[in-house]
Amino acid sequence: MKTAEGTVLLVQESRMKVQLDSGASQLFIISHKSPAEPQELQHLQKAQAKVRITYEEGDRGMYAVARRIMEI
Amino acid sequence: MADNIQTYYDHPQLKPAPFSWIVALYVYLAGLSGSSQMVATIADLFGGGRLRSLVRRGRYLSLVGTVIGPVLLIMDLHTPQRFYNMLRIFKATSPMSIGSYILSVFSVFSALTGGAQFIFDRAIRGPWRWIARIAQVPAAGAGGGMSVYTASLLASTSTPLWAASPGWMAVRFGSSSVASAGAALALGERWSGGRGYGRKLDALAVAALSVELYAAHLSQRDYQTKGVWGDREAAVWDSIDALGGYLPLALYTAGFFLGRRGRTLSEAASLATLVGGLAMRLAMQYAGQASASDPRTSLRFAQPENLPRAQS
Amino acid sequence: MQIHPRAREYPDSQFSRPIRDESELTAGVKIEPGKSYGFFTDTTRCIGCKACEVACKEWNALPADSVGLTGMSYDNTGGLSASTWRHVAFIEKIGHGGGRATEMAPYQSNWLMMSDVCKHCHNAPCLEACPTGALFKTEFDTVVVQQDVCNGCGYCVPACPFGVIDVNLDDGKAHKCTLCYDRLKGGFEPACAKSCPTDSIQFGELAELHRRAAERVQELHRLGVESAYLYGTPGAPGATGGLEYLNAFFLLTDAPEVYNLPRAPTRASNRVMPSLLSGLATMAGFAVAAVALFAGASRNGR
Repeated sequence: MKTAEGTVLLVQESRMKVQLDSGASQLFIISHKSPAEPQELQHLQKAQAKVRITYEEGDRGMYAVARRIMEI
Repeated sequence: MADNIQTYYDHPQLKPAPFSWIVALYVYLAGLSGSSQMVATIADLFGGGRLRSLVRRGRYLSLVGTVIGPVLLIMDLHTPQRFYNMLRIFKATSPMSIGSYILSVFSVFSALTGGAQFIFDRAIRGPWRWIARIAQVPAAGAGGGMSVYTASLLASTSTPLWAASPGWMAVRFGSSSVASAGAALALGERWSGGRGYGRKLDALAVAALSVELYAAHLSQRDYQTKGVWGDREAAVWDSIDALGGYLPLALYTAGFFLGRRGRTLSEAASLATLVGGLAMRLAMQYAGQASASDPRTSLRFAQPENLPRAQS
Repeated sequence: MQIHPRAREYPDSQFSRPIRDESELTAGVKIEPGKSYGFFTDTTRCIGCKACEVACKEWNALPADSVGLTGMSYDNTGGLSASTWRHVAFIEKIGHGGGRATEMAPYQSNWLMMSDVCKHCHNAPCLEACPTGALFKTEFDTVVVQQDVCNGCGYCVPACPFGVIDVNLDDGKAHKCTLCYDRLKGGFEPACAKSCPTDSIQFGELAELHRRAAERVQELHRLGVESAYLYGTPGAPGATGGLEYLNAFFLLTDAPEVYNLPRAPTRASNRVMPSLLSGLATMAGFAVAAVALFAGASRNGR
């Protein structure tokens, strides 16, 4: 499991686009194992919140699977 | 029948149901425990009080479905923590919804029946026997539903093999469930040293297996006319019929004619019935998923001649 | 080309805020709750640019599936999936079967392209199968999965006769085209229709689209494309078996199977009662048999 930090650009359904601090933009799919429900994360987009995401690489498409999302 | 169907680079036209073996196991256990409850209830109400050991075993066996059934179903959800959304609404067009309620009713009343039986067996004073006798009636009704709604669940999809013969598949699932219940209860009777009712349960299993084989034959006719039947399917179903149908029937017959010495044969027949029932459900699920992934099968099935007459 | 009178109110090339009822300017239709909307996909106008696929992915923040090549002409998408809601199919008819074509049918009919999408069926089998009510009919007469209700049972997947809806195993929910539900609520036409440079994808009110499509078929017949027909309009192929009609329908010039479409799909819920009733009748039969069997036990004491 890896972690990354960045700014939330977009939350749509269970998909979240994050501008990583490394400069790249990364699409995350919010895992069904994540404690937060996707609809609870809408405010992160509005706030352009800084988050720390624990994730694993997805092997079913070009995205990462977010397991834990923490506002920092 | 259009035999030379063109396809799009042989790319699948349908998506197979995202169900794992867990669903086939559930279908099997739902049938086994539902039918056990039904058999036990009939034995209690019409057996004149002489079939108590059978009634007790049937009630306990039905707890298998009550306890494991919901766990298996929730395990197969892709967002399991939201399982309760199943009971948010009721939809008569969805066997998955109908089944959620059948399972709920069955779970509550068969747990009540089995629980009361358990307390009664411990010789604790109270109206336990009567609680079981009353609760078993709705449990048995729902048990009948548990045995067959799973066929409706598979048939009410666009998966060619499942959709091609909805009625006969339900007959098949129902009779296979009754056969498994008869076989399991007969084994319980024989292995616990009882010597009374094994033959009666064998007779029930034989009747059910015969109906199942006949329904299998008729459903295969549907598969052929609707074009969802190939050599591969024929080979699979022939072995399923042999394993779960003809083999136990032969063993039951031999066991019957050998009388007391045929006990081992009858036990083998019961085991074959149980294994065959599970094999049939697994084969039905996997062969169905394969038929959805094969564009030739699904495009051939979706031809106007296969439409219900009123809607073509 | 006609320009909508309201367009003159917006002469700038950059806007500080969204245009009110923008779809009136881009698609000639005002989006109002309670009316029926859909897509008319005219495959004779498709040039295979895949702008619809890209616009859909971009608007809905959908991930790319892979960067592999399929060998299926220019189609490297394969088909619709949980993360692909528009899919352009390519069928090369020249050289089909090894031979070289010596004659050309009129109107680009040697290379078929079709932008496939969820059909938003009138009687949608996925919706009828959904046990949680996550799938519902919106106020625009489209079919959408509510992501906060779906529990990923996956029963909608085999229910769909077109192989459209799918479950994403990572987020555990079912996904498909929403006909840009969020955009419709904001007065925008769906992203794919807006991005389509040839108007192969047309968004509008269903009755108007039906009228336009019937006209287009006649026009094509006049131009010599006698093979043109509609798929998914009332009474046409694709709208069979109780589906009645598809809100997203197509104009095709070859057999439906060529485009990976079923000729005569059916409504899965047709089969609920036949199977359930024959199953319950079977169980009733066995119950009677068991009564006979056990009542015998009480008489002779065995």
